[in-house]
Amino acid sequence: MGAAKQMLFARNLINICIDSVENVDYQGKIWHQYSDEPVCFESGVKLLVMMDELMDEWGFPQKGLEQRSLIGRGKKRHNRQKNDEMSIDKVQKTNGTRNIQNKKGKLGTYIVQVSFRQNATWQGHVVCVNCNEKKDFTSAMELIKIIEQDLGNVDEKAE
Amino acid sequence: MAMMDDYKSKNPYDVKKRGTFIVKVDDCSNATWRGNVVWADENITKHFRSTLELIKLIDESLESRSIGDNEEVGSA
Repeated sequence: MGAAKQMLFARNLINICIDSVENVDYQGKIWHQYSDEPVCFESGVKLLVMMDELMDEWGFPQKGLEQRSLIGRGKKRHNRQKNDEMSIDKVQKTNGTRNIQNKKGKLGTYIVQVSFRQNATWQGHVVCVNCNEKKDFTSAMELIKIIEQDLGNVDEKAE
Repeated sequence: MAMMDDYKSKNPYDVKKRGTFIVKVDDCSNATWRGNVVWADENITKHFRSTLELIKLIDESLESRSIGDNEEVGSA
């Protein structure tokens, strides 16, 4: 009997499905619990930017540090709602939730839970679905390294 | 290649962008990078506190340049 399937449970789960590696970069889709449609990304940079934007939209997890800007964009202040309701609660009420842990990428699938956004980066856990392993990361760069390492292992096995 | 075209056609970021950035990494502890980035085209310097912040700083600068001034950037 195989080991128990690794799973994560959180309101801000993001499923990264990598479908192809072209031009030394990743292409694929990200799924989250509040939409039937995935968001497509055509590079690792866009993957990180889109994930951060999603979490900004949800206001969860809250940012520890305000993003700096090279183009003099004014600092965004978090406008606390009158009734203290978090944006993610509103999104959840409006859109409902879906199971995203069954979505699969052609090359790799990574279920990510960002627990904190401290020191201008991310800390959390990731489940590599292909190898059924749960790993922790302490920065966005570490998450990318975990994905890269796992995709490298997939390539080696294929060869 | 069809796969790549598929992503590009769906992606709103598919615009040619250029820029020159000088990056100085002062510290690479805690699994991330800290340092300074100079946007050479505009001569603006900013301190970044993580790799993610560096990526976002560069990304938003390129996005801002892609709005209506592509030709100027290309000839610079």
